[in-house]
Amino acid sequence: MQKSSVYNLLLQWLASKSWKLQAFQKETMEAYLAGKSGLLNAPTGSGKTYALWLPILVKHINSNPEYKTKTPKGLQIIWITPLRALAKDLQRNMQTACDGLEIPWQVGIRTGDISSKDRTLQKKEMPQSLIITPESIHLLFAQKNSTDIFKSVHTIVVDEWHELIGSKRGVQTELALARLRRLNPNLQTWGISATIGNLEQAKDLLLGIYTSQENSVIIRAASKKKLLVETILPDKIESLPWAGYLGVRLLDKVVEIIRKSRTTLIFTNTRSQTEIWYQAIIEKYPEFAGISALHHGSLDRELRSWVEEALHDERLKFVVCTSSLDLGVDFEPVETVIQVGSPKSISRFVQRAGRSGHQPGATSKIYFTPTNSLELIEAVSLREGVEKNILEERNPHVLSFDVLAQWMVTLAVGEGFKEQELYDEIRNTYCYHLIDRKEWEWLLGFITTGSPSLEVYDEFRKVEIENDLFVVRDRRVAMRHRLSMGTIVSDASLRVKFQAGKYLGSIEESFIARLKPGDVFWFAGRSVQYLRLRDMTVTVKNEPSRKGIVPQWMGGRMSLSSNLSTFIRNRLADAIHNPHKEVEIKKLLPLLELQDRRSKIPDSDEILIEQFAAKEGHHIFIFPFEGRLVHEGMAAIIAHRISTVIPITFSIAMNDYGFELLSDQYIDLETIMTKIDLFNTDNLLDDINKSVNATEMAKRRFREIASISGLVFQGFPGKHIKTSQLQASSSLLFQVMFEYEKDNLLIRQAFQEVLDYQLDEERLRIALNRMGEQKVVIKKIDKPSPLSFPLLVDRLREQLTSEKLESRVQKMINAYSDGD
Amino acid sequence: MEIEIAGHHFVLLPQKAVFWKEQKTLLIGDLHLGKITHFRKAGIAIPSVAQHYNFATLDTLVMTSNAERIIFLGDLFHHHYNSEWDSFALWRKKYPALKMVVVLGNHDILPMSLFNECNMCVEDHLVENGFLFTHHPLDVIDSTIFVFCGHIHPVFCLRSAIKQSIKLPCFVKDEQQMVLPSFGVFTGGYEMNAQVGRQIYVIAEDKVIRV
Repeated sequence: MQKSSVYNLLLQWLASKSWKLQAFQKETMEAYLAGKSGLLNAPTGSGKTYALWLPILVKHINSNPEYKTKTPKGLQIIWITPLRALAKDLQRNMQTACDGLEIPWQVGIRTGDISSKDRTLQKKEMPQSLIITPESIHLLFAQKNSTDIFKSVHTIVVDEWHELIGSKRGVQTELALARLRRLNPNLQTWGISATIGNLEQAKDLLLGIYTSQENSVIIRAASKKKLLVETILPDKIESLPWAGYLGVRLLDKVVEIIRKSRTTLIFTNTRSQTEIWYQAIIEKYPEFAGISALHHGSLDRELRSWVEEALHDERLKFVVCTSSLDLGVDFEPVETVIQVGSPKSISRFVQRAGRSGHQPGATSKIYFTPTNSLELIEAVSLREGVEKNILEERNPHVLSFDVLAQWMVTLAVGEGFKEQELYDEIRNTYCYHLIDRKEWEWLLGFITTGSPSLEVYDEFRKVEIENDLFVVRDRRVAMRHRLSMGTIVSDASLRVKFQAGKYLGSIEESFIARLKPGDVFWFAGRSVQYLRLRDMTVTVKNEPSRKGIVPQWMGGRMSLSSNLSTFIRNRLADAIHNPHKEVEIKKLLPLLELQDRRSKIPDSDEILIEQFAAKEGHHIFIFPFEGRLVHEGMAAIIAHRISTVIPITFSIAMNDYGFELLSDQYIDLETIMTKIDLFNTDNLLDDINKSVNATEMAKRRFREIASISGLVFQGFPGKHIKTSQLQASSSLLFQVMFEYEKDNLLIRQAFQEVLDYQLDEERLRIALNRMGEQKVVIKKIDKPSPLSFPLLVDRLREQLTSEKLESRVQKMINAYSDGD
Repeated sequence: MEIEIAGHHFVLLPQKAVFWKEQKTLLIGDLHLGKITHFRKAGIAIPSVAQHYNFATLDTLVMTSNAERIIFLGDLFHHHYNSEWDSFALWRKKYPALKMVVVLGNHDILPMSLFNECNMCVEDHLVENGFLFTHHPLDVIDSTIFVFCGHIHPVFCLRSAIKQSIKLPCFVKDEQQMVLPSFGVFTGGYEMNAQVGRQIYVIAEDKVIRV
């Protein structure tokens, strides 16, 4: 290849732009031109697009000597991107290369945002290359001519693959890839991914589980950017609170840093925190008004685009944001990144740090702002994780029956499918490689007869079987399906707009329910007065003079990742032996000494339990440092196990470091632990079912499943077609299916998702096993220790009870009447 | 749970029905027969076996109460005709001696002839012994009467001091009106608030409990 005329052509063009091919780009080019598939591991802003796009064009020139005049008809290349917002930039870059090399190709976009004019044009003739989202590619498969559309595709690239793995959109992508591979067995498949802990698996997922992996490669871009982590330290440790997660006390120091650089991104962990930080800075430093902004997922798309553009043009001094700016195009003026509060995962921290320092060879620097004193331990843990480059894995979904049910109907709406063929096809995906024939038949029944078998017949109408072909004939069924496809289930949220009509974003109904017209709240970085609520729209007006409350959005806080929690346990133990190694630990020393005085700092082979008697009852604190998700399940299980020895009811609270069991009587833990193994994992599933309200959790999970599998029809967007006769809440559907159909796969999936994602059963098991091997240290304390104090003040109460429903109700009634 | 209203005795049953002792009459609200099949016809796979539970519960009620009459408080059938009506007609034939009256609700759009074929009286509303039976609750009520109605599908959310909550179907009795819970297995719920002068009776498994 090196000496071919095409290569020279390419070099000329690159030289005209004063670009040079980097090593990983050359390597990718060679692998692609050798016909290989694979995964390119390269960060944003490294030239990853061209690493694949240029060889695609070279290959085209190679095989079409008259490429300047003759262009093959039909779609050749599919480029999947998870973000609609990225499509425009991609298109521009890709088109530039085509034009530069004088290839008369068109690069088209197919996302939810596409205009109907473009859609019609594409219907007439597909561009040679199409940038598309996973949802939109599924929509193309719902067309009657999908084979025609896809038959000439020889290469597919999945951009930001790490973002898709671990979500149901990743499953959608796997399914589409499996189908494209069947249409063209020689399909070249490439993924582009940032660094994650399971790159090998990411590649296998992309290429299919039974596809030969011999002809595939992983190429790593060596340009590992240097990353510096600096903690913003308080002058005195006393000025940081023991608990809390806002962190505005370090505001002045943060502003000092903002002043020193061109543009700064301030990452927070929740949307509310973003609003609060923006408000706090503007209030204390009004000079930033007009040259600063905030950015989060609930702001209107238009507002966000404005912020993004202003960032590009260097019109902003700083932007306070959430993970909404983790991804996407790079903002060249961004010099500094500040993380407020623990990011809870090393990968997320690294990703955010990467938003700064884009010049080749530049060092990325990220400032960490602790929001409470214990987060100083997280600071050193994060730094260690970054140095050792230990990044979290993204775990793919398995057996998502909801997505498969949707896919089957999608294909039936399109050209139809033969069941054995499709069965073989989907078993080549990682997600469904373990599906069994019985489950498959249940799904076939679900979409054809609405029951667990194919034999029942009533008036159920959805997919029909004609000469072995599963098809949808009913036009209304087809239309409803097309309109409700996708895997992202939007919350029932209300749009917020000004009287004049400008939209600000969206807000949750539960928040507005607490307000009366005339009340003032803070949203999108300004205070507004609530005027009225009509047709799912909240109308507001500006109210500059008064301060308001800040809205809360669901799904707020994230849980500590397993990698980070391991570091934290070790760093804490290490602090006993090496208190002066790092500035953060030195700063924290007074607090650590207090912990040691009142209780103990657990060594790495110890599990610390504190017992504390107070007015409200007897507290037990246990500190596994495994993150709040794992603690939630673990607390319920241990409470349950204690209650099998002595009848007792607990209130439960947890945070990322530990959990608390509160009861009205003293528990003699030493004695109990001689009678029962609290950390046993032999009957874990059984104990989970007895202790956690799994049904209630599954019901909540079912909302998404019901929507994806087509049980809930959201209605026609923007149209007032009456659908109320067909609307049922997902909780009602759950209840009916749970009660009357024992083997319903979708219900089973809901419970499985609770185990996998809500309780993280696997991690729970590992943690319990570890604790079982550790030395138990029980400390009776008379004043709360620095570790237990946050649990005392920051409780999320949940009650564990083994009583029957009826007596529970009676108790609640008593409590209720006392309260009035 | 038995309560007395204007000298008459009403038993609130955990099967979500009311038995009027003096008139040996069962009151049943919002059955929504046909709703499951209606959904199924549109390709939404609600388990079809669920519909049989409606009839099984009706059987239990008729057998154990020795009722001579049933008054359905509207929304007996959900929307347009489908095969579930035939199941209902078949069930109706099992009890030829039992009088059945339906006061019409907003979902009852079936042709009258179907009701007549099933030997059912159809009324817009019904007044007896100072009691008014209707589908929709009334805002203004004549001081001499007491209303039984449905439509709302009331549920009540019990909350404990520690953030635990549970939603249960309930009977809602105001000074002059009682709303029955929805009877059908595939019906949702609307959360009711406590109010002065309002009594709420929740159904917890096989018990009716006053809140």
